Amino acid sequence: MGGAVSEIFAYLGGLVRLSWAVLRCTFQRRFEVELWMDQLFQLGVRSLTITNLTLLFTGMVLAVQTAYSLRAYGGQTFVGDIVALSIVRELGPVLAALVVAGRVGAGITAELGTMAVTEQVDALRALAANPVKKLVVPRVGALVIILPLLTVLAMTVGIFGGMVMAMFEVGQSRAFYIAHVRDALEVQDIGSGLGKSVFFAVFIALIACYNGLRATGGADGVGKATTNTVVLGSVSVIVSDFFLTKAFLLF
Amino acid sequence: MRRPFIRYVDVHKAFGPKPVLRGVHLEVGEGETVVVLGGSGSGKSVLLRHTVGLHVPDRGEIWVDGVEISGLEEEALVETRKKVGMLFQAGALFDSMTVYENVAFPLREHTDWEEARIAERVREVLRLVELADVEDLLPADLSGGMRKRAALARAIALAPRAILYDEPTTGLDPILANHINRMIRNLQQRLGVTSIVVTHDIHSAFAVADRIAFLCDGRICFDGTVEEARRAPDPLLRNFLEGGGYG
Repeated sequence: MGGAVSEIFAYLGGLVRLSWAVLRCTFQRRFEVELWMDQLFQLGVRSLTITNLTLLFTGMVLAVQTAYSLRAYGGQTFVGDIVALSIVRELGPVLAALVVAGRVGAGITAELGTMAVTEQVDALRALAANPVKKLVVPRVGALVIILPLLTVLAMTVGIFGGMVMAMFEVGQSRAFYIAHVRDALEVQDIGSGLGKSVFFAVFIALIACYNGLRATGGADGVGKATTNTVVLGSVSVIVSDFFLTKAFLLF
Repeated sequence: MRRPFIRYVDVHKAFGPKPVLRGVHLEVGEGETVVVLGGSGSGKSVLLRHTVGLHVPDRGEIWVDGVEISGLEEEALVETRKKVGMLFQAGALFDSMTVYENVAFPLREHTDWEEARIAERVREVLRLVELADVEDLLPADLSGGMRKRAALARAIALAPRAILYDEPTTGLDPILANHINRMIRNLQQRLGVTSIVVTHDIHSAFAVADRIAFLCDGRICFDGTVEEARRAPDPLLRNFLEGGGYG
C-alpha cells in the first residue's frame, strides 16, 4: 500500500518536473519551427477523421435520443438547443480529447518509448541536445494548438449530425434547427469547451511524453507504457473535466 | 606519461540494491586507446555512459579534459559532450531521419554553418568511415555494420577529442568486425583522438588497444599494456582471455 502511494507521488513528481522543463524550454532561444510543423501535421491531420466521425455519430444519436425522450412532453422543438449545448459544452471537448488520448497519446508514447529503449534519447543527450526541447516541447505545443482546432471542427460536425437527424427523423427544417442552435449557444459555452480542450491537450501530451521517455525493457516495456498512456490520458480527461467544468462555471 | 584526458576516481554506482561499480579508478591519456574488457553485466557500458553524464555516480569523480563532470546539470555538460563522441552499441541512429540528417544533426545543433558547409562535412566524415551512397537512406535500410559506421560518422562529425565505443563489434560477422577495428585504429592515428573501447571481444581488444583494463567485481582488476595483459597471472583475466570472453 505504502509502496503504491509513494509510486504515485514519484510519478506525479516526475510529471511536474517534466512540465517545468517544458515551460523553461518553450521560451528558450532557437525556436524549432520545423519540429513544430511536423508535429502539427502528424498530430492534427491524422486525427481529423476519427474525431469528426466520433462527433458526427454522437450528434446524430443525441438528436435521436433527445427527440425520443422529449416526445411525450412535446419538447422535440428543443433538439437543436440540447444537441448544441451538450456538444459544445461537454461532449465535443471530452470525446475529441478521449479519441486523441487513444490515437495521439498512444502514438507519442510508442514513438518516444521506442527511442528510449533503443538509446536514441541517450544519443540525443550524448550529442549535447536537450530531449525535452527536441521531443517533448514540439509535441505538447502542437497538441495545445491542434486539439482546440480539432474540437471546433468536430463540434461543428456533431451539430451537423444532429441536424441531419432533426430533419429526417423529427421533420424539422434546416433553418428551424439552426435558429435553435444559435439561440442556445453563447460565447461562454464555446469558450468553456475550447478552454477545456487546451487543458486536456496539456495533460494528454505530458502523460504521453513522460511515459514514453521513462519506458524501459524493450518492446514489452513500450507496450506497457503505451497502454498506461491510454488509460491515464483518458482518466485524466474524465476527472479533470469535472473540475474544469466547475471552474469555468465560476467565470 | 601522457596527460590524462579522462579520469575515473573511485566511481561507485548501484542500480537499486545491486552495486555495479564499486570504486573504479582509471586514467586514459590524451590520444591513447584504452580497451575496457569485462563480461556481460560487469558494468563496462555503465562506466562508459558516466563519461558523458548519461549516468551520475553515487560516489566518486569523473574528470574530462580537466573538468569534473559528475553531478553537472545537463546545460553544463554541453561543452564536455561536444568534446566526447559516443558510439552506442546498436548505433542509436535517429530512425525518423536519413543518414545525412543523422550525421548533420550535431552540426546543425552546435554550429551556425551554412548548409553547403554542413553537406561537405557530412560527406567528409562518411568517407572517413568508408560509407558511400547512403546519405538518403533511412537507418532501417542499412545493414548492422553500415548502421554502426553511420553512427560513428555522426559521433565524429563535430571532430571530438575523444570517442567512446560501446561494444563496437558485437553482432557483426568477423570480416565486418575487423573492418570496424581497422576504422577505430585509423581514426586514432589520423585524428589523434583519445578512445575508450568497451567490449568483451578479445580479438577486437588486442587489435585496437594501447592499453587494456579489465573490469571485474565492479573494479578495475588489471590495467596494463596488451603484452602485459597476455602475460598477466590474474586468474580471472586469464580465464577471460583464454575462454575468448564470456558473455
